[in-house]
Amino acid sequence: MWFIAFRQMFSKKKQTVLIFLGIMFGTMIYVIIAGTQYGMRDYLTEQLLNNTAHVIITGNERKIDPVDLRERFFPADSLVNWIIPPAGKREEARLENPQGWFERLSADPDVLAFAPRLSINAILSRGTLRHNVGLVGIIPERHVQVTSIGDYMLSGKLDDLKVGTNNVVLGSGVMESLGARVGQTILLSTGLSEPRPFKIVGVFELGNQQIDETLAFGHLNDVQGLNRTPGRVSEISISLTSIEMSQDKAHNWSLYSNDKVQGWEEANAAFMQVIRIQDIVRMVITGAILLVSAFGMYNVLSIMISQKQKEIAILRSIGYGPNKILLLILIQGLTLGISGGFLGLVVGHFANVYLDNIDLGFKIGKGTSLLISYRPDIYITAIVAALISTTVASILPARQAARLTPLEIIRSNL
Amino acid sequence: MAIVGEKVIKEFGNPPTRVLHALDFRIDDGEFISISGRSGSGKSTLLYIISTLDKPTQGRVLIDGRDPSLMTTAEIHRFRNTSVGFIFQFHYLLPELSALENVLLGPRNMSIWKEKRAYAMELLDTFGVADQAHKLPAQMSGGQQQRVAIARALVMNPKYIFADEPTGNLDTINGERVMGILLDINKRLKTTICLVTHEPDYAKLANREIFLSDGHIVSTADPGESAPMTTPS
Ligand SMILES: Nc1ncnc2c1ncn2[C@@H]1O[C@H](COP(=O)(O)OP(=O)(O)OP(=O)(O)O)[C@@H](O)[C@H]1O
Ligand SMILES: [Mg+2]
Repeated sequence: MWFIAFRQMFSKKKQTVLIFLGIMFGTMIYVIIAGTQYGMRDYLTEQLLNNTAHVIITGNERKIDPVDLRERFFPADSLVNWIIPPAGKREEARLENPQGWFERLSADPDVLAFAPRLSINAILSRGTLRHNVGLVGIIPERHVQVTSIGDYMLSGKLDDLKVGTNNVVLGSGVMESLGARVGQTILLSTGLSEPRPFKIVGVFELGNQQIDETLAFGHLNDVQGLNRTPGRVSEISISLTSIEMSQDKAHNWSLYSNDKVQGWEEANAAFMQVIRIQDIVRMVITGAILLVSAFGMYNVLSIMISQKQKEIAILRSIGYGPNKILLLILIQGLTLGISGGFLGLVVGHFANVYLDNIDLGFKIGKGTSLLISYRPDIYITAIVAALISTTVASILPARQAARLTPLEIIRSNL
Repeated sequence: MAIVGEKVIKEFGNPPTRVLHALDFRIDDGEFISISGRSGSGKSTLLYIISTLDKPTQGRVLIDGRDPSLMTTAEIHRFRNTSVGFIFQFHYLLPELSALENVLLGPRNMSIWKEKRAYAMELLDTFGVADQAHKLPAQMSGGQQQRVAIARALVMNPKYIFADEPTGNLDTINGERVMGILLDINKRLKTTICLVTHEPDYAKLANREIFLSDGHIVSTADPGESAPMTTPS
């Protein structure tokens, strides 16, 4: 059957090449779009401070409630109104009972790791230079379990925070604006406290200027000390044994306290929206291309069958059964689908490698070119989509051909 | 052994019109039978039923004692592949394949085309088209194509050849050539041949002529010119 199928394919070169190209472009474009989208997404994900955390617990900010405040001064039913209602925060966000959380999380078998943090604002100064940062107090060995920040260290390690007391790791932008070097000592202050000397033990660079210029890490104990709030924790990042249970877990835990407990998707809602839109765009474009090439294939095979009825009749009378006729058509469709699909993967892959090496002239992540993902599931999805669409497009005409009986054809032609 | 028809009735359409009226016949192995009659008398219909391409509405056909309408699809196709050669008025060569490749279609179906290649060339040579072996059908004349089609029908050494007006599209010279080939393989290879033709001259070349008129067998006369190889019972 292969022999006849290939002869038939090569006898109509133009159609064969067009279908082949259609399928090739479909898979190629999927690979390119998905490669850049996933590349961008992976990059953005790493930018999220809690990137690998599945559930995040944050303290609710306590806002001043005008009604509540008024009722402290006047009876509840009195007709008194604020001319200018008081507003604002009463206190920085913090967890009500971090110790309770630690116990609960340690005991929960679904929790893989959890990392408590205290985020405050701090002023860094070195000589006459000053710089404001968000200072995050972490427990290094726990923090690396819920983020990938460890991969972005330019020098030093997060673990160095544990050596002695009062160490900091700074973003590369922070280092620059302070003109500081690793090993030097700078002064940190919350603005309310006396400045304390901290030693720079490491530098990280996420490739996102906004973060690299405004973020610093210290050991949780040191930051709590600087803030004069021992034991305070503003958030806990949790990674679970499986990401699927993040929403359920978040919901369950939220019943235990007033703290805000959010699953990954909820905590990064805006980001998830971008991702969903990307998914839809990619599906629509690739789907349209594959649909068009599948339709083309369906048409060509159908036309071929109606043109080749006589030949099909003769094959049947020679003893080629319906299954062999089905195979004859299927081989042609699937050969085009598989070869076009695979070539599309290869061409798409190399197009991505090429894009990966174009210097855009500005920094994204660690380099200056587009971020491309080479995740295997991109290629698998592309080839599976190509195979499904070509199988459907060829099985319908093939079954139609297999149903023809030689007699009908011979009679209608005589 | 033989092909035996018992009360073969064929009807078409609704309400049914009877095309073949309870035909009884017997075609012995090695016979050269011609089926003749006017256009529309049911010649092709009868041939298709004898040759497993069609089934009778009533009655039955037994080929070597077996009823093809009771065989499975696989058995039917195997039977067609190994025991039957068809020749039609239109040659039906596959246009993408060369003459030789067309002849080897049957062997290819049984994965024995390498073994049969020499024999296929021999057949093409016998029919005077050996020099066309590697040409595509479009590059050959009608007569040459028909001879290639006959070679294709013969290459599996079938027990039966069913031919529906194989000369219908050919000029006299090519027509006579084809008839000569059929007579020759009937004599040399003892192939049973059923030939549908409306040319009286060709019909007379057969051992026996089944003459149809409006779906009835009017006579199974021995045309007399050549003695039958086996005596019909
Ligand atoms: N599929 C069919 N449906 C309805 N009627 C049919 C069908 N096939 C054949 N017939 C009718 O059966 C009759 C016999 O047809 P058949 O083809 O056997 O004639 P024939 O003797 O081979 O004629 P010709 O010499 O023209 O080939 C005709 O009247 C034809 O119209
Ligand atoms: Mg006819």
